[in-house]
Amino acid sequence: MRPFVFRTAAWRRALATSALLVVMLSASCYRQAAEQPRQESRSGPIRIGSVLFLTGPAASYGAMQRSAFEIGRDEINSSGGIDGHPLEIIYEDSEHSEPKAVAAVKKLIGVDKVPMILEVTGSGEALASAPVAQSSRIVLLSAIDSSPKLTESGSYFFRIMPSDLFQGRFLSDWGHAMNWKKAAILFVNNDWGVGMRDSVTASFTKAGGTIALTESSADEDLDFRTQFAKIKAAKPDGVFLLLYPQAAGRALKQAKELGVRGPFLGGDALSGSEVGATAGAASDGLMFCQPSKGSGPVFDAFRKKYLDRFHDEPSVYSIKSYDAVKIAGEALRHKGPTTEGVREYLDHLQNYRGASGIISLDANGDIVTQEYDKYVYRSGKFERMN
Amino acid sequence: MALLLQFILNGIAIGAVYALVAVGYTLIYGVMKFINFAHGDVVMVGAFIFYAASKGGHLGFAGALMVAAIATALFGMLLYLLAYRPLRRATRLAPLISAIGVSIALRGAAVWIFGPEIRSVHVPAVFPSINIFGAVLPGREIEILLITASMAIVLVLLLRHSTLGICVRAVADDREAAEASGLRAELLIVAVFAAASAIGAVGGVMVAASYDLSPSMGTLLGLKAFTASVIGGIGNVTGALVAGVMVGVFENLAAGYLGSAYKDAWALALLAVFLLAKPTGLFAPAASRKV
Amino acid sequence: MDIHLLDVITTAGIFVLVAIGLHVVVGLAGVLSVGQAAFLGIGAYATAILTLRAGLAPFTALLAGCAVASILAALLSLTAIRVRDDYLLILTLGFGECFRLVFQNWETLTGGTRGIAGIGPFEIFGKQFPDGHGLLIVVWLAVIVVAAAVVCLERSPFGRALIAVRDDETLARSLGRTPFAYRASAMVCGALVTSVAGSVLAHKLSYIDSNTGFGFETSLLVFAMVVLGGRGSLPGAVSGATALVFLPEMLRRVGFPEATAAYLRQIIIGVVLIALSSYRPRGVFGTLRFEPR
Repeated sequence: MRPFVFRTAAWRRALATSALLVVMLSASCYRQAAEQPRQESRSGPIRIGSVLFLTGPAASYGAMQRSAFEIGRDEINSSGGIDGHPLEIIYEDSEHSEPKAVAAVKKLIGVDKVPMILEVTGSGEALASAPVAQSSRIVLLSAIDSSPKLTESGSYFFRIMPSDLFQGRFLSDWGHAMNWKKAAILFVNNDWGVGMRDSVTASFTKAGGTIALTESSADEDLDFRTQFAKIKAAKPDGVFLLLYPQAAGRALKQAKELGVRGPFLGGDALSGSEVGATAGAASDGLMFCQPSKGSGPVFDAFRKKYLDRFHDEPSVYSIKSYDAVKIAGEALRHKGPTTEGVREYLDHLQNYRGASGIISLDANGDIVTQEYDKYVYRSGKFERMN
Repeated sequence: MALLLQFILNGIAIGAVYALVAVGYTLIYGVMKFINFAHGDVVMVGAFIFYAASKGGHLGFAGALMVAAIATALFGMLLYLLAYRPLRRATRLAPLISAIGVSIALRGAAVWIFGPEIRSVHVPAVFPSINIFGAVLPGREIEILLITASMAIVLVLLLRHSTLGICVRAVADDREAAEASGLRAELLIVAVFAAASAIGAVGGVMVAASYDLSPSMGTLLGLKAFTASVIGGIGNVTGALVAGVMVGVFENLAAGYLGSAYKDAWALALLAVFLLAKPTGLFAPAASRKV
Repeated sequence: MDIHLLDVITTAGIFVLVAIGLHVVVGLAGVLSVGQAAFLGIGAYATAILTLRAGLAPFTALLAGCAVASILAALLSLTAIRVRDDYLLILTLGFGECFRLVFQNWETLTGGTRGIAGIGPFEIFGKQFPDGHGLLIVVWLAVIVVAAAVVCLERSPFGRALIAVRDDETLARSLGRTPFAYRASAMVCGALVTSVAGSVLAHKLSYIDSNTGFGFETSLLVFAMVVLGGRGSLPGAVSGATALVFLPEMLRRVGFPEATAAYLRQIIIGVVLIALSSYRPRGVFGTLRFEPR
């Protein structure tokens, strides 16, 4: 009596597929084994990994970060590399999905055997990946993740983007400075928007104000009419507009159509060019804050390179990404490209002069303080306020 | 009072779009006895063709709208011929699987060609906004309502009084009898598919012009429009039109007074309620079948 | 075996479980459902919420998740009594979307888009199975157990009646079977198995939020796994799931990260589904005995 796995055509084909998969697996294992001696003994490039949004929603952030990484990497390599070895970055795609981000991180650690990971974009993706970094003892340095939840992510996670707590507090203080007693919040329902909402609400109410109304919008939603109808009825002194650029542009247009006057105050995401492009005249008077871009030679040099190569102003995300890769270069040079050397360097990182300002990391691996600048939109473009 | 009116006006504006898309579901069901699961994504295709025509082709609103409607009509016919017609004689589940495949492929193709981000098309409003007791009806919404209303009137008149309309209704009522009396049912079905796609495309264009478009916009839009076609009595075009507006108003009132976070869920709740309690809808045609 | 391979094989196991669950619904009962990811989410969130906030043991939380999923599946099947296949299909889509909205917006319960972090490792009978070799074995043992159960189900009188209801409802009814009861049971079984997979996924990732993959995209992917493998065929569903998980990750390993782009996958899957329906209605491993109309 033949065993049931051979009995029907279906089972036979299943067996054949499984055999094929086993062959594929073995082939890729063999290829890895044959190609991966330990990093330190090679005389070739030093490779680090990066998990970005290369495809999927928010893929524009991936492109932005990659551009900035490349400028920084080229600078490192043209000034001697890492002790003579050129720096290479292996890019992986997380498709803005946490399980995929984790798989990508594991591939970089387990297959490519990188000594550190430069950025896992997305606070959710970073939160899912941090435990992997911790248990594998590989450093994860993030350039732009800002969720307050990442503060407690273990001793191998570091980030140079300030937690949203800072920005929320800054916006709330700004609202108070404009004599807002009663405010409304319109936020996008993702971890950035929710984090901002919570920190703005906490700071604003602590300083004596009231939040009259909090309205949410779905991540992909560009219709805010219902929300604005309610906001109009609540008659607030001002509106915290915690949205992304394109949504903000649409929102402002709809607000104008419905007769909601503002004033509107938003976060650093509003530095995106879609705000002016989408809202046109309706964006006049929109105010927002950004982490200080820093000034001085480092920022100016980077800005010039970025403009030359990509014909676009660098956003705060590009600037932070540039700083991150330069810091990574320093960390790898510190005691040779080992993961413990990198960790030691980052544990003690103080007063690093980056394009985004002075960077110092605290015991949690978070950036210590951050200055913010105020900006206002006029005629579709924004300029710094004094 | 102004708030209530504002919600209702918002609801009518989006309801007009639901109405147009719902007509598509209803028309196709009428002649094929089949819910085209991929209809929402066909509408999405129409919206993107409009986007390409106005951004890339630099056509004005009217021109891009015509291009979108005609192109989507042709696309709909192609889809029918490739993905549904070969399955007439197949098992009962095969067309559904094919429809799911169409949906997946269309969404993937849209992302491939246009990228996954949400886009907007800037269409300047011709009419000024009007203010009704404190509620604002923006000029663009007035245009949408006018276009939708005229299309609706033309459609209903065509169906009721023109020869073509009578032929379509004959095939919908009883295909074999219609064929026996000489009607070429196959041709009519192709024509209906084209028309349903075109009308849906106009709805999609309205969404693109007034709100936004993205490769995944077809999913929820299709769901809500399907709800409307169920409520209106599946197969009943006038019912679908009226129910579309009803769904829009209901959704906005619920979102306004009960919470805007779950805005999309209200229409789904309506669907569940109707399918449980009254699947034949509010305006079921006289000879109502068990669905 | 490096950690990436471990990860892929574990993830494959989890999705094989989901595919087996959907196979019971789609393949055996003939109910086309594109809302299955909702149950994946229910299992995951039940585990996260109950282990972290109510202090329940992981296995207990897993069982609780199964219970919730079963109840919801039963409710969903209620709407299926009076409704035909094509309506039901859209209804399952609506069902799935509803839960996505709940996962996203019910912040106090699910953490919304901020999610729930710090989920501990899977634990049963006092032994922990953190992500790695341990969890891999647990997942694939579960697969074997569940697959064996489903094979027994298929051959049992219940299973045969279920297939009869799928193939020819009128005939089945005339022989005294109540289609609703059979379909409802199948949907409950499917939901149960998928919920287990969700719980394990939560333990594996240790962090979940509404973006983790409990929405329409995942439902469509799992549906494709089951259908491409061949509806009505359990080995087909297993192969489909394994292949669709392995392929993108193997491409990543050999150096084509962007080739794993979701949209390419979608286009290929969509076209293959259309083609298969026309030219090979039985899928790659078909064992269906549908009679053409």
